[in-house]
Amino acid sequence: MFRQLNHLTVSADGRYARAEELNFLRDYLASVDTRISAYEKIRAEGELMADKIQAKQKAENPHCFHYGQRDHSEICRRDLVDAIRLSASAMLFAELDLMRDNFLLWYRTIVKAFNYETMADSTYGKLLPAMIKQLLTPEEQRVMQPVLALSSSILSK
Amino acid sequence: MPTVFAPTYQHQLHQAHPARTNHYSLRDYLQFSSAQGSIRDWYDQRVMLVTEDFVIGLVQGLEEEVGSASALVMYKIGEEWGKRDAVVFRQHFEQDYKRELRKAALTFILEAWWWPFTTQGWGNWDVDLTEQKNGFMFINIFDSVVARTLGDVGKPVCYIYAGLFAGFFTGLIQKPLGCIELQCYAMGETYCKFLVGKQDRIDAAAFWQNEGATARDIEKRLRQGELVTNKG
Repeated sequence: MFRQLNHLTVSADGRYARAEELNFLRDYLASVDTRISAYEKIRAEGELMADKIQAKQKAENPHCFHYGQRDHSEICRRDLVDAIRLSASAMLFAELDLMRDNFLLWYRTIVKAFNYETMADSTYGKLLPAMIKQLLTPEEQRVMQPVLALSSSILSK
Repeated sequence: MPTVFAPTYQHQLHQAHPARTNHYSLRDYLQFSSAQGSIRDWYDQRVMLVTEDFVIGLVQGLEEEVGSASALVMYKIGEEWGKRDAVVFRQHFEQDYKRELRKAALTFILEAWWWPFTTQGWGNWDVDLTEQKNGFMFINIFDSVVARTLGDVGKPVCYIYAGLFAGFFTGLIQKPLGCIELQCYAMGETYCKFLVGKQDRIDAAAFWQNEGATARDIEKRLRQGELVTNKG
């Protein structure tokens, strides 16, 4: 959204924007209420979702957050809470490019550095999308889906 | 962990979010000040944008000045830069992550080190540490700024990268290491491959390369533990 606006201000400099160049604004404004309601639900449930996801993962494998000689549960939880918040923000502003450039590409290297790929796959490929699906209405899911798909494609195996 | 003095930075986003570690998008990492006509990075170091013509001018100008020694000069520039960067990086890492460098996972340290370079256009990388215990490692660079600029010239050209890796890893582990580029985008390959290791490995690789061995041949020989003394 921000990049599209930025692009429009440059590309339409010195002339009026054409109707098709304004479509993204129309689409966004039509979905604002849905985005805000989805954002508010995720804001209210983000921490709880992170706890539930970790609880499920630990139930399957109590040592799943042990890397090297340390338990990294707390760090992984913090990262997950951040990721959920950033996903909600990306959905709210329809701004996937910033989410990818500011967070996902960097976080992928951290995931790889700690051999955390299997857990990231379970978190961002399966458990988080399933929880979001339970939390949101079908219409809200529709605006959240691109963000979840982007996270999954970058962080999952 | 000893107390680490954390300076206040002028970079506005850094000031506002000192604990933020995902700050590597171009607009976050660099602060463009049109009033001052300056660009500064996350740690307030001055940065400048250069064109491909600048890179070509630098490489070819140096060749004109010192001939074939330009490769060594570029390597030495990179090596000195890497050694100094290792010192600065250690300070930044310990400030940012509140952890001593030697207690952090090596893969994490390496990612933390290279991200600013990626942001500034030096290319993405991939590090292969599988032979670390045998005293060497491989680094692949995708989109080397030097090779991409010079195009297909049929020989390795990324001496400044090789020097940078040699200097940084020497500074990091406090043991003398060298580096050689085994394959280069400027040789028609799809990416550049570097070998970092103890000098005997680098010398062996350089010997095999001069004999016409490919990067894959050299990699195979090194992984099999063969050194130049076995050449017969």
